[in-house]
Amino acid sequence: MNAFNNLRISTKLTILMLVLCAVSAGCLSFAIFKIKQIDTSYSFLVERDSPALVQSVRASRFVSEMGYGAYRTITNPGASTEAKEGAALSETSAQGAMAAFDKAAEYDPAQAAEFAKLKKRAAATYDLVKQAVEFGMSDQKDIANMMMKQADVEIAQFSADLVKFNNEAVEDAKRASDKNGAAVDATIYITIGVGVVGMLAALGLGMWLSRSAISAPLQRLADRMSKLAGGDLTVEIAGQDRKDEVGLMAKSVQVFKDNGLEMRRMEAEAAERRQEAEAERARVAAEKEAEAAQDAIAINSLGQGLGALAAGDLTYRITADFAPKAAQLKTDFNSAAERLEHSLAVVVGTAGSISSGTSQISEAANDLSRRTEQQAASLEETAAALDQITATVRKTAEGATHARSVVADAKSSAERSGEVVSAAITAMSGIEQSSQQIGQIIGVIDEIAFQTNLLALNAGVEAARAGDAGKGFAVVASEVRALAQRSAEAAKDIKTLISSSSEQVGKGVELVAETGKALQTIVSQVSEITGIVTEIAASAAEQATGLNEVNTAVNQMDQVTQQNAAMVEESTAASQSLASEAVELARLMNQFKISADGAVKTIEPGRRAAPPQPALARRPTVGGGYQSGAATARKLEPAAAPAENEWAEF
Amino acid sequence: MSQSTLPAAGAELISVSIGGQLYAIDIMQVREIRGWNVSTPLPHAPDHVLGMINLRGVILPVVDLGARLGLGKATPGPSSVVMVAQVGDRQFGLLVDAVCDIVQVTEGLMQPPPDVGANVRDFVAGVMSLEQGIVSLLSLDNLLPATSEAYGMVA
Repeated sequence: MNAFNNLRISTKLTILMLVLCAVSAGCLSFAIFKIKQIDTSYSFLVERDSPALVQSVRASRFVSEMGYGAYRTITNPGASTEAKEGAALSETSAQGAMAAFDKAAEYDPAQAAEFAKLKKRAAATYDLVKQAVEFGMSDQKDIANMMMKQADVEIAQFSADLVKFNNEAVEDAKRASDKNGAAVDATIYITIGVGVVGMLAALGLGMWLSRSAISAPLQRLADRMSKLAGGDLTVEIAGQDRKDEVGLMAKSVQVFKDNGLEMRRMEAEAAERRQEAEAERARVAAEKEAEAAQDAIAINSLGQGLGALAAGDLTYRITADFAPKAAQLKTDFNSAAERLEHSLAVVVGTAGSISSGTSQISEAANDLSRRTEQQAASLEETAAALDQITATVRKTAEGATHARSVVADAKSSAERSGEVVSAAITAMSGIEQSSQQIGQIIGVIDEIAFQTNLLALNAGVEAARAGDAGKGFAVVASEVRALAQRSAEAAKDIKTLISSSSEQVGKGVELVAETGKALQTIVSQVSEITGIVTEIAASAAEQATGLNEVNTAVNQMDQVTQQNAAMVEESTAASQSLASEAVELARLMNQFKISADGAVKTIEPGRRAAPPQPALARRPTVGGGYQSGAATARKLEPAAAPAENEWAEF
Repeated sequence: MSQSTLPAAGAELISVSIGGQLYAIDIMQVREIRGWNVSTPLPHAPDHVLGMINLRGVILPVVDLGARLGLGKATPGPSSVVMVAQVGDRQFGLLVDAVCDIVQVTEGLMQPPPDVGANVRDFVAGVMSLEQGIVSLLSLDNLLPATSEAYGMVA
């Protein structure tokens, strides 16, 4: 047993496996042997008995066919093809039966004598059938039939014997197969039994081996190790004499144990040294405590001072006595607080100034914004008015051009009128000449009338002298005289008319001449008008150009004004945010407590900085807001008011 | 000078215009009426004698009747007419401004000239009222004396 313990765990397991393998191999060999035996038995059955049986059956069939072929020969005429085929079939069947019996004997030598006897019987039967066929071929049907009757008995007997033989063979085969099946069952049972026994033995051996030879020593060793880990170094490490892995592990655990003992010894030494150091430290701490008391005073004072500073009290000064090494801190703190207070006082004052300045800037920016808006509006109106003026001037220019063309027409008309006038004058002078001619003719008529009158008078005179005889003549003479007088009167009337007509013609000529002069004057004046109208048109065009330039300039001004307005808006916003920042600064400054002269300044910016807020609120309402804003500005800054008015006027 | 009788009703008179006034001459004393032609002056003739004219070969003196009647010198015009008068056996040309009409004397038309003391009655045989106004009938016998003595006497 001790020798087994000294084996390695792998070796122990290998031994166990070998035992298991031996058992398995025994079982397997037995099973193989048995299977081989059964296989041989079956082979015998299959290779010998079965083919012999098959050949025997085939021989039986051939014998039957032999009879069938003989009958075909007999029933048909001897010369016919059917008869010949029947004879051939009968012959081949007989040969087949012989061959089948030979083969059967070959397959099953144990039955060879039986098969030879059967073959002999088949040959005897065939001799009979062969004779019957020969008679059938020679058409001796009666003899053939007689012979066949004899042969039929033989064939039937033979077939029945064959069947009996074959059945016996089949029974033999079945018996052999049952025997083999029993052998197989026995083999299976034996194999299972031996296998189960082997497995149980192997299982028991394995459990024993794992528990007593491997697990138990390891468990013991683990207990010792846990005790070692728990600090118990007095534990005895067993199993060091073992040669297996457990022995090796026990040796290693012994090393651990030795190391632990050594470490415990060294720890004791270290504790001694630590106690010495502790004593030294206590001494130094006492010294430090004394020093700390002094520092605490300084730190407390500084803490209070810094706390006051943090709370915004800049008037606080350190009064406590400091140790000589911290005295510098006290003076430095006091001077720093003083400097800080002074600086903050200045800052507070400056913040007040900034606040008032930013409020002024904010108001001024508001005013500027408003005026810029007004200016922008005025500029827009100006631009619109300029557009209208431009349109008007353009119209004027067009009108002037139209007037020029109309005046040119008038001029040409006047010139044509002059021609008409001269033509009228010519016509009038013609009329005058005609009138003169008419006057001359009338003079002639008048003269004739006069002479006629004279002649009539003379006639009257002669008639009167003639006395009663001349009475009729006197009447004629008086009639002639009357005619002459009427002629003379008519001539006189015509003369008067002609003279008045020629007078009027003369007047007409004068008037026409005057008209001609007037027309020439008109022509010259129209020329002047043309010149003037052309000048007007040119100047109107120049005006239009000039107005365009003015328009461009106004547009540029408008843009600039709008940019100014935007900039003013920005500056207003900036100034307002600056004002609020100043207020915030003042508020922050108020948190600091400063000596009396500084404190006055801290309050002032807060009050002064208030106005910009309302101004911010008022901004959207331009009109009213401006008035009140201006009023406020005037109240606050009387000096700024005149300048503002000047701006407004500007 | 003999008082010439007033012409009976039915007699014919020729009315003439001298200096705007109408005068009448007995048609029986008138030989011819003709237009004015410039007369040839007669030296040393009285003022009312204008000169001489040739009437179909007969030289006749031409008397300015206006001037002779004291109405001022006539200015011959286109209507001026020379009346050839027969006084006795002499013929004269009488320049008048114009011949107006032949007037037939009716009963009661002719009246004696008013007696105003002067020798008006020597020159005017009678007066008559017409539509045109009052017309004086000249007495050529007294107006144109037959001799130069008579002329002077009358003048």
